[in-house]
Amino acid sequence: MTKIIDINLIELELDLDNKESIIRHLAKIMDKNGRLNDIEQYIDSVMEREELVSTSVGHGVCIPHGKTDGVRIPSIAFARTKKKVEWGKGEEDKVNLIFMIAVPEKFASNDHLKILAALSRKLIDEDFRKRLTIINDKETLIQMLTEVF
Amino acid sequence: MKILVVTACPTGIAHTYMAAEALEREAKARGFEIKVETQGSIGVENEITKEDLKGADVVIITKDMSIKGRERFKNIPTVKVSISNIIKNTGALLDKIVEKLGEK
Repeated sequence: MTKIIDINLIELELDLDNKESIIRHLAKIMDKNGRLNDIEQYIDSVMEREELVSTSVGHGVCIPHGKTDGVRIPSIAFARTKKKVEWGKGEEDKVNLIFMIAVPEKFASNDHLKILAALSRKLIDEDFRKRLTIINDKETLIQMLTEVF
Repeated sequence: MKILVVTACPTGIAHTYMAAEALEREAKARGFEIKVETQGSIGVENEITKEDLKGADVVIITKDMSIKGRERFKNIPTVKVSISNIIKNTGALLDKIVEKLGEK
């Protein structure tokens, strides 16, 4: 199984200040790493989901996601922004931790979905979130994220 | 206090599980009995059985998606909540529910 996240899909000092440019940037990184079939289709799917309801989940975290044929390999990109970015209407929807998720419309195994479920559960843990904001070494972060699975 | 919960969200990838985790943690911290069924992309997990219904004080279901098997809960007080509200305001939400039911 190709790993759902690797070091190339992590950005720790992202200097972008709006939702769409961040989504585009992370999609580009995924695409560069061979994880997408159709980047525009994937971005559309993520934006459509955001328009439905913002994927901000409070505590500075958001989880934009798209499930589409435009995705080749189930993936997560993680970004930490330098400044908090508006991800919805309220003050509570400002984020600096972004987990962008890509899932193919059809995929043979459920394994990746189980990983995403496990990570989502972990994000509720305050301690886990705190570590996400302070760890600066990508290898350590990957280790921490894969421990979850 | 015994709480049953069913969570589901439009893509069934993340919120379903975050809400489940948030409620499980909050309820356990308060010493409540809780069982959360997730209806997500993996399918139905931790299904609420007939046995689980016995003695349940309240059912919380998310209102973002239609929930499978709602008829199971017809004799138990049911609260419909948006899934993002569960994740963002878990504690306040439980406070409100407990208050409405009267302390048990």
